[in-house]
Amino acid sequence: MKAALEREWVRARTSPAVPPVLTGIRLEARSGRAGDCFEFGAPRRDPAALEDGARRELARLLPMLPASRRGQLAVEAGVVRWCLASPGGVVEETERPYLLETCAGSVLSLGDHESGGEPPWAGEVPLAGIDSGLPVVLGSSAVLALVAFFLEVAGNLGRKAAGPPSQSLSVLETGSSPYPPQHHPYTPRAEPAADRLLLDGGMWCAEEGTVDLSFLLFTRGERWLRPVAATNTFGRRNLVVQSTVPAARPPDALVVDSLIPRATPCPGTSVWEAELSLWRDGRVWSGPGPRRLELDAGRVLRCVAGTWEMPCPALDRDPIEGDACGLAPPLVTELTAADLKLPAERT
Amino acid sequence: MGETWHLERSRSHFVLMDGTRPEARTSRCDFEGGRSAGGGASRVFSGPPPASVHPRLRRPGDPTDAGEAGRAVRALLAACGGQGRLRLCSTRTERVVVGTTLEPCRRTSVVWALTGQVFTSGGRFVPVGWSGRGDCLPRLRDGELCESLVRTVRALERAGPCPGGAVPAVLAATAAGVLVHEAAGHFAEASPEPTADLGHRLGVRIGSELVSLEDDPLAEGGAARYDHDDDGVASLGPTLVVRQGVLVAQLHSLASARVFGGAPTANGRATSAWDAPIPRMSNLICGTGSTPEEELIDHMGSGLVIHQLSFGFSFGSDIEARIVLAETVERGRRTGRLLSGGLLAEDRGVLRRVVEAGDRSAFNPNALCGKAGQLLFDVGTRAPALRFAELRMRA
Repeated sequence: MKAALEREWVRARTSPAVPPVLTGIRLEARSGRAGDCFEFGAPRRDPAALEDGARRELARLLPMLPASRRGQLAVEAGVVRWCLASPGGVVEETERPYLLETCAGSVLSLGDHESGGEPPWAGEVPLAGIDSGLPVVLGSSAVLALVAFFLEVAGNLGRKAAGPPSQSLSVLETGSSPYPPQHHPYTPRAEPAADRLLLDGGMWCAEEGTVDLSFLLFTRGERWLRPVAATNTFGRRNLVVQSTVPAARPPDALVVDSLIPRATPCPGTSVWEAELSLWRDGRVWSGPGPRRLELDAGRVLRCVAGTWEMPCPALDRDPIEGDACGLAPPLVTELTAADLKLPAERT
Repeated sequence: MGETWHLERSRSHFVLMDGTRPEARTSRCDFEGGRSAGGGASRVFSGPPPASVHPRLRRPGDPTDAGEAGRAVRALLAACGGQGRLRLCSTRTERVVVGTTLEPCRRTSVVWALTGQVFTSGGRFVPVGWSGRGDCLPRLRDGELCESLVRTVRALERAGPCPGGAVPAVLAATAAGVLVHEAAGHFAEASPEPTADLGHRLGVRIGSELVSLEDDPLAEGGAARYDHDDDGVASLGPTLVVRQGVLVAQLHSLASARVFGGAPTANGRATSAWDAPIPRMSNLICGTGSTPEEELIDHMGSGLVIHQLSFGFSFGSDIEARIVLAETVERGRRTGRLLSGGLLAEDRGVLRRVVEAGDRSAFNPNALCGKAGQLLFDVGTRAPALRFAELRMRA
């Protein structure tokens, strides 16, 4: 057995409707000629110590949220510690505390502070009767979900089936993550792992990677008992989306905050569950709960006009593989509210 | 209510085979951990439970011979032309539930799944999704199953694109299983949300009078096989869920039965001890008719016979599945013209259009089923070939 990797993750996760969940997981890996061996064991740290902080943040944020979003607030306080060792001794030992606050698929804040930010919404508005000519902005989480879906179509059916990639975007697959539990920039042999550029300026770059079991077990440890990447084709699933095309932030816009695919990845139009907001009068207003949208991921991404911001933490919420945190900028598109064909009723 | 402990120990073998590498890469994972609930916060942990919690579980043995499994996966990929990516996961697991009003009950199981894709020489992707219980080796070496994959790969090399629109269709037995599972099976499951009661669905017509379904965790040849579910509830035998097209019973976990005010049906299932059991099918068995498959095709006249579906998906009233391989039928005869690549885009009422059922049923070799973030390897579906007045497809 050559290298050893050890990782411990403790967290307290709180949300309004369910009792807190305290998680403590330790996983060790050793790599050898016969393959890699992984073993789950008892963590040294007790996640109960994190519960109070998470509860406080939940209580602080709840009154600031519009009613339709309160039930979807989640606050997670955690610590990830990892240790890389070689036969000669410990090579690297790192500990990262973090606080993640999410609501309806949007990342409200992610950092190593004890207290997070404030929700963006000033209140809630109905979306019926909005100006159909409003530009559509994709929030960071919506961008990440669309890109991941597009890559899944290419991985499952081939690049030709997926259609041409957006000329305005580049996509990097990386072991790094802004979310410490999913940060693991190492190979199975505990060496630094190289990033892979998947898409750039309308071109496919790297070939599809082989599924990296070590990465998936370490970063999706709570979902270890799955057929490895049964429903996706990613080597790793940490994505960084960038746009080099500058675009002005529109003062008024319909914003797709986040998206969950409610269909199997395939070319053409698919059903999505969307959280929407409205930018109006210099403020952000929340839509009244999730909406069903029919979107062609490839087409929407090809309609991207650019961005005014750097990539920021975002969530791709896969119904089976779980949440994947990545980086993506909000994007202005050439679409208008009329193109989204908003249904009248809430899903 | 006191604390309930769900404990588990397991050993998993993983085999990753990539057509660009000559050898399969194998890995092993040993797990011990569990989940406790009922005492305020719930806890998810790896490692042994507190010393006060009994019984202790022993470390399970190997679920399969990993070396042999690697060679079998490599041989399978080679038989299909050598191009593709296959991933095998095989797990032997022992679980116990402690602290409910029921007696602590131990369960040992071995489950496996082979997923991935094989590429045709023309650049098409053939999805591979086989799964079930027991040692995976006999299935990986099952000549008939392997030959069917090789035949599909070869057939896809000459298949044309699927048209869109509504056409009369016959679904071969394993393809019919995909649709029955999505359209009726998931509809019969109670809600995974602990507070939602879907009892209003009882009495709803979801199929034609030819459609009757039961759920049986001990069905012979089924992917699932258990006498106690993951809540520790004993199975009392098959549950008739659909009688002549009408939903007459729902599948319940302990928690959903409590909300509904009824008895659990031993359908509380969880991917691992870290996941809360939710209502899931075990083996869904669709009753047969009396017509041989060739006669179903003859009676259809013109239309499609769909041999293989993959990636079945249901959300709300939408039902989807990808058409891997279909064949056109004219004047009641197969034409040999093969089609691939379309999407079956249906709604929840699709089984109401069943006009004839075949006389033989078969289990779908793919028993993978994902729901509410939990993926099970062993959800069996057995169905006969079904003839539909029409099925809606998207090109």
